Amino acid sequence: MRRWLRALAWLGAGLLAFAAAVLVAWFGGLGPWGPFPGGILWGEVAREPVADWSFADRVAELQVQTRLGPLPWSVTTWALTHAGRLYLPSRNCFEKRWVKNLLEHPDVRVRVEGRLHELRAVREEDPALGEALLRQMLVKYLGIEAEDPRSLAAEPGERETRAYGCVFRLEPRS
Amino acid sequence: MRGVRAALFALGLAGLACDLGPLGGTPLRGERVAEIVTDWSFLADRYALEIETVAPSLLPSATTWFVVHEGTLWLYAILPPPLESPWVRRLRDVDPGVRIRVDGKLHAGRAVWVRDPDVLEPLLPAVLRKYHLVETPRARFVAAPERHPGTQIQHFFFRVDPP
Repeated sequence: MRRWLRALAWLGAGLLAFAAAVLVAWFGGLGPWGPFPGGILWGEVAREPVADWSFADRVAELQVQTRLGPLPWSVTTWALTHAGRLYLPSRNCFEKRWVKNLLEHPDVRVRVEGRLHELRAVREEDPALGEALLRQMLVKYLGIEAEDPRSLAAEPGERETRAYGCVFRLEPRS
Repeated sequence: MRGVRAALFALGLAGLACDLGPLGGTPLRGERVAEIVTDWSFLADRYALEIETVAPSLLPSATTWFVVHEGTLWLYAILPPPLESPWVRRLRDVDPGVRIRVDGKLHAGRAVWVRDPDVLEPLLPAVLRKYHLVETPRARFVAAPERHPGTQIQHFFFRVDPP
């Protein structure tokens, strides 16, 4: 009995130490990696707003830092541009933690090529723009050209089994 | 020392009982059925499938995307290079054996990695419709344009044949 109690104490202490290490690493700036989210993003903060984001066409992924309550929550995600503006698309968006965070606190920090930009996310709902961004997404990320593509970004009906999506436009905070 | 060993054992057991998302999950439970499925169309209204690789792994199972085309089941995954899902690597490099869990039953199959664009392009409308928000009658793979150099992800398609 005493042996098991000691084992439980060791296990508890080990788990606590592991959880503390994870929390410090995560929220202290370990950053997101692949599909795993992270905490604070570090990097040089851009002082001037970006007038033309088209350079992001060459960037496969960027990192976005949102807020989960008082805690930073960052992810790696895709980015699209149109007419010099920067957009963040998201598949099955309302199931994503970072999108929920962003809808609650739209001020985000975006890291592109090591530089941090302090921006505000606004949901983009223009269908024509949505179609243009979708076509760009197909080529930029999927390497696919589709004939007469039509957007299915709206949430599916009850009997439909498919993904849906949303897009956020990033703007200067002031 | 015995306490530490017991703690590690308990931690190991806890680890074995969990699903680590993209890394995989524990072996699937279910009744293994011998009958061979020749038409997978009954899966068409599902979004994802639970599979388990025959290749040994601590976390052999995964939840995958898929499409059914003319009754044939195709497992589908996308990842930015050089990342690869562990299940993709095991099916491609170790053993094509796979078990697919449908309604509590485990169906055995052989997952054949297919790369031929002529074979894959007819699947693209279904894939685009289901997972990439696009309705299109026809689609094809294209090389990276100058505007987006090196941003394309990898597509992995596995055709599920009888074992």
